[in-house]
Amino acid sequence: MGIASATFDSLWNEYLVWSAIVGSITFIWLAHHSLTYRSKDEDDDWVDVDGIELGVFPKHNDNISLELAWTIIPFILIVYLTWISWGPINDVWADPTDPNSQYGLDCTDAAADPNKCYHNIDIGAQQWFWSFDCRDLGPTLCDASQYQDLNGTTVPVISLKEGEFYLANLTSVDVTHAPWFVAFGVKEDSVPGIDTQVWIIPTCEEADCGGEEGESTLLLCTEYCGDDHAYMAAVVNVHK
Amino acid sequence: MVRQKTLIRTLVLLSVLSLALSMAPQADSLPTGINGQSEKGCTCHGAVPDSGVTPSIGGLPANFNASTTYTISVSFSGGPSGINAASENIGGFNLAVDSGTLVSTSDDVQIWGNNEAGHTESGNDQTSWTMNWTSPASGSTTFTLAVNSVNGDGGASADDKWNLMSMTVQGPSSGVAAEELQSADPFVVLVTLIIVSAFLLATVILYTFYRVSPDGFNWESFAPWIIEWLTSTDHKKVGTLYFLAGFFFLGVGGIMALLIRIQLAVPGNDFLTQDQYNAFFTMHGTTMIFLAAMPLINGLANWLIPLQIGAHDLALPRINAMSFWLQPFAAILIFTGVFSGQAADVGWTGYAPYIVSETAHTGTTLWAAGQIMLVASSTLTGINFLATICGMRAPGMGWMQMPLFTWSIFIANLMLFLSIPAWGVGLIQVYLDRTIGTAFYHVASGGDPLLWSHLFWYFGHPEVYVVIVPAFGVISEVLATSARRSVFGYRSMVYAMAGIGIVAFIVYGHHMFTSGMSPTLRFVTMLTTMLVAVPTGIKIFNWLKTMHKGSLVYRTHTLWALGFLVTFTLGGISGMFFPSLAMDTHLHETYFVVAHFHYVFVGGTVFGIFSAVYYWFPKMSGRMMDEKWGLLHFLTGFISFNGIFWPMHKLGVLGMARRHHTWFITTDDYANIPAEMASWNLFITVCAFLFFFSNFILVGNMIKTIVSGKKAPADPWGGWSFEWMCASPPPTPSFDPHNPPVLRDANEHIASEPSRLGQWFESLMMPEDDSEVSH
Repeated sequence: MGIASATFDSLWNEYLVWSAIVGSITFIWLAHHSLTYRSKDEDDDWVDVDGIELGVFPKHNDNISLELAWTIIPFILIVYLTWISWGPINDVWADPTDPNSQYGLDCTDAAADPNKCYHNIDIGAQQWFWSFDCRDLGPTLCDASQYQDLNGTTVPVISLKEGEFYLANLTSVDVTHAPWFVAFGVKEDSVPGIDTQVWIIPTCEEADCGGEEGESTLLLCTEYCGDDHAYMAAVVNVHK
Repeated sequence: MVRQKTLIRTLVLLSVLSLALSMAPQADSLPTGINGQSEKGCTCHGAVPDSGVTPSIGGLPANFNASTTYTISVSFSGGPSGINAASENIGGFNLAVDSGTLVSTSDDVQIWGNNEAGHTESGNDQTSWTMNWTSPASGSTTFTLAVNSVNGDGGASADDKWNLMSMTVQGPSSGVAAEELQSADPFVVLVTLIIVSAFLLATVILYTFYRVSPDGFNWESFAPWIIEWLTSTDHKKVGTLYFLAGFFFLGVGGIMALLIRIQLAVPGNDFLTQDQYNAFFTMHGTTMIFLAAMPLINGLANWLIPLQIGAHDLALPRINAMSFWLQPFAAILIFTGVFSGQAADVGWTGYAPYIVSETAHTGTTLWAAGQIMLVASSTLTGINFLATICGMRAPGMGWMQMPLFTWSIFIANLMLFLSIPAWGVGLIQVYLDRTIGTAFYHVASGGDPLLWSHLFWYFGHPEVYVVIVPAFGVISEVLATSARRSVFGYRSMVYAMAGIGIVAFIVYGHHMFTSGMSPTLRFVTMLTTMLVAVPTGIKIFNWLKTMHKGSLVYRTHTLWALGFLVTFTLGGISGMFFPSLAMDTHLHETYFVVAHFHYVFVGGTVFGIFSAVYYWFPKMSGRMMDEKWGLLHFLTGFISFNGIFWPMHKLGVLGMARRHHTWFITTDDYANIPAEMASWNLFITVCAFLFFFSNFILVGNMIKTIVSGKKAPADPWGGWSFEWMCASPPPTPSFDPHNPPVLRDANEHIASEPSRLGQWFESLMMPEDDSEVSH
């Protein structure tokens, strides 16, 4: 299983590349200096360039150009990373009432574009189980009538269709929970007293979800909620 | 003479060997019967038991009576003995019992000891045998029977067969013998280990006392000695107490980490119940941050700040002692739940509304109470260090001549002093909610769960920097001294630390990216969090440049400082993934987070503390530590640390959630952690044990150093700051308050000329003409 979210994948790959570059520079520098400038023995030809003396604040060892260089260059990199992280925020926080967003309007809305609209579903949280409500969606689009065994615990199954957009409305009746759709790379807290939402774009790998049964992955609770927190799970099935 | 001795020794050795060989259990069966076969069966009649031979034991009751004699029969059917018409050499047996007494009743059966029977030579011609067995007074007895079905040719043959059976008969139960062994409650294990650790600590204290004065090892000497330690306000003694407490709780937190790792070694493990697991990760986090890392940093600060700035003590010595003594009592409150099996199970973050819910363990109330005491302790510590550093610096030491460790403690305590009251307020609200029924966080009554998150993280994120910034100070000191250079970019180091201190207060929202908090606030904190990388990067590059053209003297503290650079850089890089909001929605609350913050907390703070211990221990104890032990500690600790936390990155991304009692492996029904990744969890657990035990090398090294270390000179590493001017160990008071040391500055020309900003600031503070002051 991979993380099938295109948003996550694009950011992840880009960040990995920059991490490798920054890490390589640092570690090569570190290895070079720690080997090159190691003391041969106590009486080598080392020159005390800074004149270190007990009780005397040492001579400044600085270079404003270098210091500015490794302030400004990382800053530019940070600005770039912020820039590439900025766009995908729309994937997380698209306005459900904005017809121009990438998810369009609610498919039941008369003004919605049938080729670009989303479906509302409800996810309820309670210590320690999930409940799904597909509203009026047919079983092809959303089915929450099945249950499955997960290592001895019976958990609900939600079945969704690949390529559709879903807006999950999250509620909790007791403490804070957070559904994590592991394969889609998204999660959001279900906070009692606050209505929260999360966009779900079910995706799956062709080899896995091409068949009749589709691809099943897990939904885990990722905001600590007490005794059975680890077993507050669900199975998420994605089919064509 | 030597030859004679060698001869005698050889003869004795040969005699012992001959005797041993003659007494060793035989491996082959004989027609006369042989003992010692009950464990492995009669392998002379075939390599493995054969199911075609059926042994049986008759005459045994379902439950035996105490001390009663039963006539039992053993027999077998099947195998070659039934095929051959000959009635000689057709079978044999060996019966072993683990209690009671066997007695032979015929010539066909012989007994070895009281508990093993076999056939005699005459008994070799039959397939069943009888004997008496007298039962024990209580408990159960296991009968192990091996039988041979042989073909009558009088020797071992390929077609001979044998088989083995075992049965247990219960008797009257009395005493513990009949009770089934129960697995120990992990809480009992933890409490036992804590008590053992405390006992060991007390032993070390007593031994240290003994070493100080072997002749004075009596109560009359011990009482004033221990009272002096318990009531001292001397910064060095209080610092040592902080160290003792910090290392003790580092061990306790480590034990809990091991219990957690045993649970997570394999999927679906039931070593800990969910209840226990939740309590253990809560207590692990709380212990490590508040009862281990903070006291260890305070231990360093207590010891070194007055020494580094040339002061005789802290500004408020009694407040300092009070700050320390609040901690053990806070620890007792925090741990009270452990002793009742109801330890707090809310995570170190204690999110509302779970923390005030009825499902949270009762120990949470006293956990909150203990934390309130720690808030008080930290506030007092903060004001004390701020006052000391502001007002007690030696002549000549301006702000920009302070050692970087002193700067780091100043900034850390400023952050702590400004942030921890917010958490204190939150804790008091939680305490009141849990005790007298207020409704700050009860949602049904209008409480706001996000208020807690704000109050906690307003403190919690600066707290992360409170424990890492002092490590920055340590590494700056250690690397510069080890490279025999002045630290590169002293001023930018100070500004970077100050920058981190300021930014710390405006980034905390990244802990709440999935919380439902206002999107605007989430977006702003995404931007500010990105900024943290800039000052942190400056520090790392400055440290690297410090080594340039230096002469790096490799000592254990140098190794830990270089190790810090590796692990802290990795932790810093992985930290850059979180502010990217769309990525954080996947990574939040996974093992990727666990890996990141352990790289920062352990690879940063703890490695920094280790470096500091090796660097300043000669100053504190007056004795040099063992470098070979130090090298061993570094190698084992550094490798096993990375073995624990590096694989966690991948596990987190693949679907392993934090604070989960178990994890799920991919099956035919669903996908989660791929099967090929599963063994990494076992690997992590093994590394966790190695890392835990590697730190005993440090403890051993410290004890060894105190007992028999080489005397340390005043300045063993060639440092420049004031602490190296004192004797090792320093006297009390550390410096003469009436004759403090004076710091000279090698940059006199710069130091004597205030900057334009400084000139402007001074013009605001000081009237140029005294006559303007009205009297």
